[in-house]
Amino acid sequence: MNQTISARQTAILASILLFANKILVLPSLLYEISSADGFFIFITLLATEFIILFIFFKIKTIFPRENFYQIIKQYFGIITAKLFYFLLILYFFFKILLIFNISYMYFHIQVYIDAAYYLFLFCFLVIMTTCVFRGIRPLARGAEFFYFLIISCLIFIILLSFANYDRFPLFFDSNPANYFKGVFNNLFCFGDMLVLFVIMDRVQLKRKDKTMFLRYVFTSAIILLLIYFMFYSIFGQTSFIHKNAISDIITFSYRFIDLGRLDIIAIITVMFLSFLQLSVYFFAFCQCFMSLFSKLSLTYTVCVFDLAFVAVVASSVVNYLTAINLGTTVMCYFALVLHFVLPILVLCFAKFRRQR
Amino acid sequence: MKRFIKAIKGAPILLVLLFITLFFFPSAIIAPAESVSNAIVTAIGLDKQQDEYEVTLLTFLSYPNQSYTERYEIFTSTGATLSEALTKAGLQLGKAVSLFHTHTAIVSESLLSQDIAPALNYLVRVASLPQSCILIGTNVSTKTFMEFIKELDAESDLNLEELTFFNSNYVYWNDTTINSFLQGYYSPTETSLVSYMPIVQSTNDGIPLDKPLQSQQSNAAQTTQAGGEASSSGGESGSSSQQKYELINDGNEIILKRGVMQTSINRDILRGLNWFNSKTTSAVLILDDVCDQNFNHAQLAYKVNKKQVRMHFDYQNGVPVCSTSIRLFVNLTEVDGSKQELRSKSEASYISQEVRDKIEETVKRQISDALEVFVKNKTDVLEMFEHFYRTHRHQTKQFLKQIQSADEFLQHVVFKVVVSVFPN
Repeated sequence: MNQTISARQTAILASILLFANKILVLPSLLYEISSADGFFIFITLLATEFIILFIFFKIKTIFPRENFYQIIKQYFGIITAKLFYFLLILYFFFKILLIFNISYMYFHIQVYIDAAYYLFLFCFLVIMTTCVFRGIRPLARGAEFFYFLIISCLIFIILLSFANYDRFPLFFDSNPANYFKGVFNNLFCFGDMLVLFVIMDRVQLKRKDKTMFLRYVFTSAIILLLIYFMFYSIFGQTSFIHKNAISDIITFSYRFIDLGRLDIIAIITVMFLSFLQLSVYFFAFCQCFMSLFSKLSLTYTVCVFDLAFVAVVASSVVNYLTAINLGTTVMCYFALVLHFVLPILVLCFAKFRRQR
Repeated sequence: MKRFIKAIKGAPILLVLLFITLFFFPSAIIAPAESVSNAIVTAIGLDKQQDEYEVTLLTFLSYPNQSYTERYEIFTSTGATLSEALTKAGLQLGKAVSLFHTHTAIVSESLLSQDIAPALNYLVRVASLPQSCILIGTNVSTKTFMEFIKELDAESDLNLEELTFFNSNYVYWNDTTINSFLQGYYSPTETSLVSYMPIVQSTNDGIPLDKPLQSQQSNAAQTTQAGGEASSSGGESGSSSQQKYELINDGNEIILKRGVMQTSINRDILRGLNWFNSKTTSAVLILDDVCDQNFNHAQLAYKVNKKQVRMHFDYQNGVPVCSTSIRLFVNLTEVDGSKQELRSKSEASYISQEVRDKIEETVKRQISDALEVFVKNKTDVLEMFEHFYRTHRHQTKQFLKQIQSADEFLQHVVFKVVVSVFPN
């Protein structure tokens, strides 16, 4: 577990994580809240990702080799550190649940409607568990290997979607209250850069690497913006019906009827993205768990997660709808604390102590 | 073996993979083929009979044969709700109804007399009907329509999908998919256009149906049976089994307001509407009684090869004005009547001032006729309200306060049309 990854690999992981939760059901959820102005909610929330990323750069510059848990412990004491890491454990666990349920529903509709929930569960769990046992380096190398395939597929999807372009989205038609509500309610779907804090002691990041890092993350951000723009342009008033944005923007048109299953490109992309995102989040969960319970081994941590995950999924306490509902209600407060309060506090204290 | 066990010990995850392989692979092998458990529906018909939904499914049946012919059957079932009707259909088929490959949805006039959006919403959101599915309205029961289409396909290879695909691309104002219907339905003016294909009795040619035509007024007593066997409870046509029918694919469409059928528009009205649409270029202008230096009371047919439409929306003295510039690139394709010396090479590009005036007059008349229908029915098919709202939001909101609702908006719009004609 003491492996390190290069700056480029970290950038690729961050770039892939940026797509988590955002290209399937989120565009329609944002439209439900604020019509086409959901696009601006998305831009705002995307900006928060960059804020978190810049805070990470600052903290990483101040503490190039330290563990995030140790940093919090150093400034706020062990109880606060444990409390924050407990919150992080819950946060990552629920994030995995949310991504799993959204991905499952996507594959269930697009690929195999008769497939049982447990088939998906076992497929995902096996891969996630393997990735975590292998460590961050093989995971990052895997991400590096598939990165260009994923990005190429997404660009191809955007190009295809231009054939369905209808009209410019009707912006600024919703009231500001809906905008702020949308930003707050969907905070949990963002903040993917938080993973970088958890693995910061395994990342080799130098000052000169930051430009390269930003280039990767910006590429993902631009792709996401184009997907959202095309989604609202194509579907207009019916955007709220389309729950699988990435597939729907290329398959809904009658013009593509004769081309058969064109959405296979989207399916492959989502498959790779889901596996990689879930594995990275699982790794982050294990890191937090092992920091909190330092005497427990990785095998124990993985077993705890697997059992808890199967129990939650099997009990149907959290399914597709409840996961989305919880993600837009309770988890927003978690997100607010962990995305902003924690990194800003750490940064401020670090700067303050440094000056003294 | 020892090496294998050693390798497994080193990577226990392989055991998990082995377990999954042993568990799922045999289940995949013994599982029945998808076509055995799922009925692949290529077209779905929605009808309403005595407060009950009637669902007709054109189903592809896969079975081994040596002739490579595709076999389709029609199944019908009824229910108080669509889900009940589809469940019943599944029971009759002995398979789960799969709508993933459905390309066409047919809606009868009886269903069109009420809001069809809830039914389509259910099919799209719950039953996984693709939104790219083309929506067609018809005058007969959907079961009769399907039977006719099946026969049409068998006898002439004329495919409904291909017909509607062509219409959507070249004839209609817009594509008439479920998605475009829903977009119109959820727009501020709640207006949509849907393709309309009636089936009528034919005196000479046509396709004979085994059963008499069941029009909407006469099929109330129809009962439900599986296997494509509709009962013949006496249609209003009441004709013999040798009666022939034909499908009218004349580019007709129906206007729906809040999901309810308002009126049908014929090809002439559609032609007037299509002058605002630069995509539809399959237009022929017929000019009667042209008299100029070359022609004397001749009838000329001009084909529109290219069309450039520019619309500008503005408020003049508080009144919404839509200024439209239509540039037509035409060529003369046919002459009926006496003509003077006209060389064949220059004939195609022949346009005199008289011809230009005639074309402008014809286009304006067609537009005026179309607008009259839309204003009368308060159906803003041209989406004028949305265009003005997009370009002059504040003024449109102010103007909306003066009129009763967005429905009234179209009748207050002043249309200024300039037609320029060029030889192609």
